[in-house]
Amino acid sequence: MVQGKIRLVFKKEGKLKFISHLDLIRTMKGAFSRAGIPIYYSEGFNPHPKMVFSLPLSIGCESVCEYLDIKLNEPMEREELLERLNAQFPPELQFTDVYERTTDFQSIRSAEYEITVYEEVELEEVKKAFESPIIITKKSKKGMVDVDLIPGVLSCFAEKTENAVRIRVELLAKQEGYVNPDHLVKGIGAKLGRELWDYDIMRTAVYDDGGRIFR
Amino acid sequence: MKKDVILKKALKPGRYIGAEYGEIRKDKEKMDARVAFCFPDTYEIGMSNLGMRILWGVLNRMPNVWCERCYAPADDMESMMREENIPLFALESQDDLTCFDVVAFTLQYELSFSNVLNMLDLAGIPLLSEDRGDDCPIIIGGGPAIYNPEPIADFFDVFSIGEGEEALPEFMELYIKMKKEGTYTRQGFLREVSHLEGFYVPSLYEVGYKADGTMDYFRPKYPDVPAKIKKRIIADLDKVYYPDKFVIPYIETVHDRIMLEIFRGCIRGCRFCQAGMTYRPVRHASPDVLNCRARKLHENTGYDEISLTCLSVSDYPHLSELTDELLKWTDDKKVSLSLPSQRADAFTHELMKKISGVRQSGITFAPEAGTQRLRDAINKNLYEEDLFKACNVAFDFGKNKVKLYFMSGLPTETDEDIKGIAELSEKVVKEYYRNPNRVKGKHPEVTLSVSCFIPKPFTAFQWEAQDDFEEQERKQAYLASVITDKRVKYNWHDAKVGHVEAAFARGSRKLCAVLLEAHKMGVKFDAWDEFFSYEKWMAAFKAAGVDPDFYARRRIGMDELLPWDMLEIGVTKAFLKSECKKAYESVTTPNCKEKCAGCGADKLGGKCTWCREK
Repeated sequence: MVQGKIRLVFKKEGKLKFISHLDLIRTMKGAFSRAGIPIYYSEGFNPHPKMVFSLPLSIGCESVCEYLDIKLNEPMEREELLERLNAQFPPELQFTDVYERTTDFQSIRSAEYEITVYEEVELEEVKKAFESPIIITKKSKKGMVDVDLIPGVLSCFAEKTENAVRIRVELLAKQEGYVNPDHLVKGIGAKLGRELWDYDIMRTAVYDDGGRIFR
Repeated sequence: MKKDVILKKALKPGRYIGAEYGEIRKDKEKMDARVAFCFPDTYEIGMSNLGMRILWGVLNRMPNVWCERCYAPADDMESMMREENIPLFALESQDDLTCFDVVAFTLQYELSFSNVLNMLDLAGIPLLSEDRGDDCPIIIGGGPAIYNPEPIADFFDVFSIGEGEEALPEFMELYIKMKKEGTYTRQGFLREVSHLEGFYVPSLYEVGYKADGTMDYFRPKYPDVPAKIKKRIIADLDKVYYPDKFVIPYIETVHDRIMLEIFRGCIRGCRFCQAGMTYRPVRHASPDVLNCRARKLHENTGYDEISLTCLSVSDYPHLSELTDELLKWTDDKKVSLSLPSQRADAFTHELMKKISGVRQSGITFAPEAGTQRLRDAINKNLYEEDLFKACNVAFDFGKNKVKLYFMSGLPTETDEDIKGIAELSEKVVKEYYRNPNRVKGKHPEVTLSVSCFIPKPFTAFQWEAQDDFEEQERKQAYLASVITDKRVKYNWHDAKVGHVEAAFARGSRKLCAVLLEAHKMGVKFDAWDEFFSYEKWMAAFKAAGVDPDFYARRRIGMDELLPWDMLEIGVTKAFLKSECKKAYESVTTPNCKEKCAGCGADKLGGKCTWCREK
C-alpha cells in the first residue's frame, strides 16, 4: 500500500527515446486519467494533475531510472497502481517501482550514463578527449557562452567493444553545473574534429549527495 | 542504426515511431496477410482522420491480418531518408512497405495525389500498376477523393468504392484464400477482385477518346468484368464496427479528441457539394448506441472533448436526446461537446448552452452565397433571417466573432451576388449592435472567407465551368471595393490551387501522365501553401500535353461520357441533370426530411430513416 506523496520510477527506452520531455508530460497526464489513478489536481480555474519529473532527458536518450513525483488523494495497492499505469504504455515505457518518498529532487547530485559510439573513433582519442577541457557553446541569459564540461565529469571509463566505443560516465546533475550527456558527446566530437551522430545514450543510475542510489 | 540517427535529427521524431497507447502489435510470422494503411499527409493530419481509424480497426479485428499505419514523412525526414537510402516504413513494425501484402491509401482530397506517388517512390514500389510484379504489394485506394478515380488510375491496382467496413475484409479474405491455395498471381487476383461488389480494377477497362479530347468509350476488356461498379454502403450504423479505443499520439495532432460519428449522408442536397451526394443514403446511429460508444471512448482515451461528426450536425433527428444523454455524464467528467458543421437555421440557445464548454470566442456559418436568389440556385435553403437569428444566439452568449464561408464562381453568379456577400456581412455587424445582450465594449469581427467554386463529380454542377483567373480577380477586386465596413475582414482562397484541384477533380485517365510529370519535378504536399507550386504544375501539364482548362474551365456537355460514369453511387445522373436545370431556374428542392426528391440513393438499401418514410 502506498499513499500521500509518492515517487514512481520508470524506464524509457527503445523507440520511446524519441518522445520529447514535453510530449511525455502530456502523455502522462492522459495515462493517469485513463488509468483512474486518484492523483492530486492543482486548484484553480483550469486544474491539472500535479506532476514533477526529475532530470529531463534529451530526445534520443534512454533511461532505466526516471523519477516522477505525484500525490495520491487515496491510498492504493502498490501492485495495482503499477499494473494500471503500465497498461497505458508500450513495453518501452514501464513503471518499475513506486514508494512513499522521503527525499526531494534537490538531493540528486549526479547521474551515470552509458554512451555507446558506433562511429569510427579510436578508443585512445576518446580517452584523450577527457584529459583537457571539453568546450561547448551554450545559450545563457548573457547570450552564447563557452562552457567547459570537464568539471562536471565526476568519473569516466572508456572501453572498446566489438563494434563501438563504450564510455561510462558519471556527470554532475545539480541545477548549477548540470551536464547534459548529449552535449558531452557533441563536445567530444568537436575535439575529434567531426560531428558525431551515431551513438546511444542510456541513463543507468541517479545518485544522491551521499553517493548512494537516489531514492 | 541509420534510422536512429536520422530520427535524432528529424523534427518531431514522435511522428515516425508508433508505440502509442492503443497501437496494435502482432506476431508477423503468424499472419496470413499484412497491410500498410497509408495516409498521404503528415502524421498530425492523418492521425486526426476518422475513416482511417475505423478501417485500421476493422482490419486488425481479423486475427490473421496485421494492419499497420504509415504517413507521409515531412520534408526534412524525407530528404534524410533519401540520402541514407532508407525506404518508407510502417510505424508499428518499422518494416519497409515492400514487406507488406497490401499497401492501402486513403484519399481525402485531390491535392494529396502527388504525395501518393512520392510515398510509393520512397517505398521503392514501382509507380505504375503495370510495372508491378507478383511479389510486389497490391496497391489499393479508397476514400472520398476517388469518386473520380481516373486521374490516379494508372498508379493503383484497385480501388474500393464507397464505405469499406465490410468490403475490405472481403478483399483480404479473397487475397488470403488465393495465397493459401497457391493460386495467387497479381493478375489472377485482381481479376477475381473485380467480381466483388464495390471494387474497381482500372487495368481491366479500356478507354477511347474522340478527336476533340472527350471520351468515346469506356468498357471492360473481358466479359466477366462488370461494366458498372456499385458503391458499397453500410446498412446499419448501429451494428457496424466502431472503434472503442483510439491510438493516442504522443505528439499533438490536429484533432486530439473523441470523434463520434452520428450519421452518414446529408439530407440537404446543396448542388455544389460532392459529399452531400456521395455519402447518401442518409443513415443514423441511435442515440443510445452513440452514448455507449462515447462513454467507452472516454474511458479508453481520457480525451476531454467529444466532437459529433457528420456533414450537418443539426440534421441529426435525435440531436436533443443525444446531447442530453451525453451531458448527463460529460459535465461531471469535465468533458466538453463540440458540434462542428452547424447550419445557421438550426442554431438555438439550447444548442449553444450545450457546447459552451468549448472555449471559443466565435462561431462559424456557411451561407455560401450572398443573395437569396443564388442561395436558392445552389439549393442551400438558408435565409438571411436564419443567419441573423443564429448570430444573435452567439452574441447573446458573449461571442463577438463570426466567420462566414462563401463560394465565388458558382454557376449563375452575377456581380449582384458578389455585392450580396458584402451586404450580408455588414448586416451581421449591424445585428451585433442591435443586440441588447451583446458584451458592452466589444466590437464585432466578421471574417469572410471566400473560396473559389470547384465543379466536382457527382454533383448537380459537375458539368459547369470554373471561372478563369481574370474573372476571379475581377470579382475579388469588386468584392473588396464594396466592403465598406472596417469590422468586416475578408480573405480569398488561392485561385491557383483551385485550378489544379478542378482539373484533377474532373480529369480523365490522361491526367495520370500529368501527375507523373509533376512527381518527377518534385511536386508534393500540394495542400500546404509552402509546397504548392503552380509553375511546376503548369509545366507538368505542358510536358504531358494536357490542357488543364479542358477539365477545369470547360462547360461539359450534358450528354458527354464522363470519366466517372462507370461508378454507381446511388444518386442518378438523371437526378443531377434535373437539379442542374432547377439551379438555372433558382428553384429549390426540398430536403429528404420534407419530401423525397427521388435522387436514387434509396436503391442502395440500408436502414435509412428518411428514405424509408417516403
